[in-house]
Amino acid sequence: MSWAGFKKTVNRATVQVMMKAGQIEKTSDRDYEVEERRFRAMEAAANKLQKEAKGYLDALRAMTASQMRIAETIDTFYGEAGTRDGVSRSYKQAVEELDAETIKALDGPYRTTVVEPISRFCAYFPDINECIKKRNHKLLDYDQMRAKVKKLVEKPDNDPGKLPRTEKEAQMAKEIYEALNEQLTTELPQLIDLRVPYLDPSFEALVKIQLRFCAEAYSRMAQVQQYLDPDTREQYAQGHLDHRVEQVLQEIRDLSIAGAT
Amino acid sequence: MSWKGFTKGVQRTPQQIKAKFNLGENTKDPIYIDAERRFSELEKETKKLHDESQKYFDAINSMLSSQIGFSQAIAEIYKPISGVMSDPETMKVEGNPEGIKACEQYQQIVEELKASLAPELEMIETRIIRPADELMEVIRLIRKTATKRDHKQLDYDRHRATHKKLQEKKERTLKDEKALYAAENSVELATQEFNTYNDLLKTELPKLFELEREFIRPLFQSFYYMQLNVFYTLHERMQSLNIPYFDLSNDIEAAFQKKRGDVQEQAEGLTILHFKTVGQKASRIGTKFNKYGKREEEVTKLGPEPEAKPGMRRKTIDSFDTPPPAYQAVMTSSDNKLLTPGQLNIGRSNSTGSTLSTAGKPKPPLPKPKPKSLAVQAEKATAMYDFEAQVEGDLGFKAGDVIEIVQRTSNENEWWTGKLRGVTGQFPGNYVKLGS
Repeated sequence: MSWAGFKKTVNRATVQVMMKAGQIEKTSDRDYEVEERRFRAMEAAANKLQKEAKGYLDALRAMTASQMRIAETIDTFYGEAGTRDGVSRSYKQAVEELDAETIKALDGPYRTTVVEPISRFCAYFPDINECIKKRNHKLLDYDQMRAKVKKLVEKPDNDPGKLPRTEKEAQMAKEIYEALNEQLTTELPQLIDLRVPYLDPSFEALVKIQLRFCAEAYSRMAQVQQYLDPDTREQYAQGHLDHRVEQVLQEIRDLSIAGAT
Repeated sequence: MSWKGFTKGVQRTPQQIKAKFNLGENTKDPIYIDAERRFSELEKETKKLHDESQKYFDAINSMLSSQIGFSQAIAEIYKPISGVMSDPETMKVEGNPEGIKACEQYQQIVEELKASLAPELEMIETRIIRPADELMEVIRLIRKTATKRDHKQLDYDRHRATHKKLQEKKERTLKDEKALYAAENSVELATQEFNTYNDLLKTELPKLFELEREFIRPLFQSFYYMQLNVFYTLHERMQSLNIPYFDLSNDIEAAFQKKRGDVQEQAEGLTILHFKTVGQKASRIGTKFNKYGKREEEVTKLGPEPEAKPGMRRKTIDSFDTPPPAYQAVMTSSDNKLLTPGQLNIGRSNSTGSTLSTAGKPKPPLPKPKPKSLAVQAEKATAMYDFEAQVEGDLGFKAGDVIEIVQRTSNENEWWTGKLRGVTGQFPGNYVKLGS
């Protein structure tokens, strides 16, 4: 922080303390405050939106990545016995295609229509916050100058030129504060009104991308089925497969190398 | 570790080192080695299977919760935002009622989806992850057996080596004979133990591999069907999503662009969005007025600058503590000249930049107020540095020259006038020392 900035910070901190103590009157602009609260509400919602939009993409990627690794593992297990039924290979292929074609193909549109617009919208906030901060600082400066004028009026200084000078400074402070205040009070509602048309298209795009992903994922997965015995589905539904898993597991446990002896 | 375990560990250490560097005789059973390699692989793959199915389970869950979270957030965006929550009248209908409805519908579908997927996902947990977990447990036990076998192998090699050494001894004492007998026993015992474990592993590891395949097949099939079901449910539910709010027929990006229109440009037209870059500058115009008083001060401060500037090296002005008031005209030139010593010292660089930076360098530290020895006629000064005349009127000299002072001030950082070899001229006071 520069020296000038530091001085300002210290000065403003003093003013704030004096305000708390009731020494300096505080200006409050109700219209502006309402707008600022609205902006805060929107900011929170938009940030949440950004997080969730990214979360969905991350989850999707994590899911396919896991699928691929599972497919590899299964293939290794099957691999030693040779790909007898082609199931593992077909599964692996389906999963790889899902990753390479569906996910990669949807990745771009998802980013351009969902992630990027939302992030862009959220990227506006730091500037606005900076503006709000500045406005609050200028307000403090103005209040301080006004309090000085008031003091001089009540207790005139020996220097007769001091009052007009301070008044002039107070006027300057007021002008600069009002310019910023005005800017925020008019533009914040405009941005808030734009939020729906701005973000709404992303929602539709998200839904569509999800639809396409689900449809493609299902059809790719379903292709693997032809390599499986038709009755495995029945076995699965009946819980036979789980029973078999349990059974084999028990056999493995019974091996003397597993410490059964 | 127990005491027994510790002693064993110590006893085995030498052999372990030998085995590592392949010294002496080390048993190598190729069949076992291969089986062991396969076992390690299996160990690794089982772990991977376990971890990845867990990750898969988590990913699906987080995908769904992101969907729900997204629709909640967008609903918040659609809702009218009021700055005064307690006052219902401020809830203007400037939100997006159709959008909110669509959100709610969407959210409902995803919630349902999550509910209907829950048992399916539960199954991944109980039927895939748990068995894999249990298998890992068994594998750990088997790994223990394998470690034991390795220890027995070390014992076996160790005892054999001792025995061999004793046997090869030419003349055995009674003590040696005794030891040989003991060693024979040990070898026999170690061989037995080693063989037991080795054979056990050799016969059973292939069985394990066989069983593992048996195990993985139904597991994989289950996993596949679970996955298929998950995707089927997702597909089904999403397909049934019939919200008129969404135009699902056309291309994703095109529809997005169409619906979006120029909203982004509109929004970015707002100046507060560029406050850090543009907005602040714009508001600066005001700042200038605000600080009018201060500006004025600055101006006055800078006022004399133009006068001192002709020399264009005004930086040096700072090194004067009191600019000679009477020599305004001289100042300009002297200002110029003052730099030259520095130039000389650095070998006469003509670049202004380096002159500026080195100008003060050879100069002695800032002057202390000297006792006013008011200009005595024929006062002498000895040059401490070389000084080359820069402009007409300068007095050049070499270090060691004795200059006769014509006129000087009490401040050695000013230009004095002196006489040397019949020439009169100005020179920097701090280049000389008073007295001869």
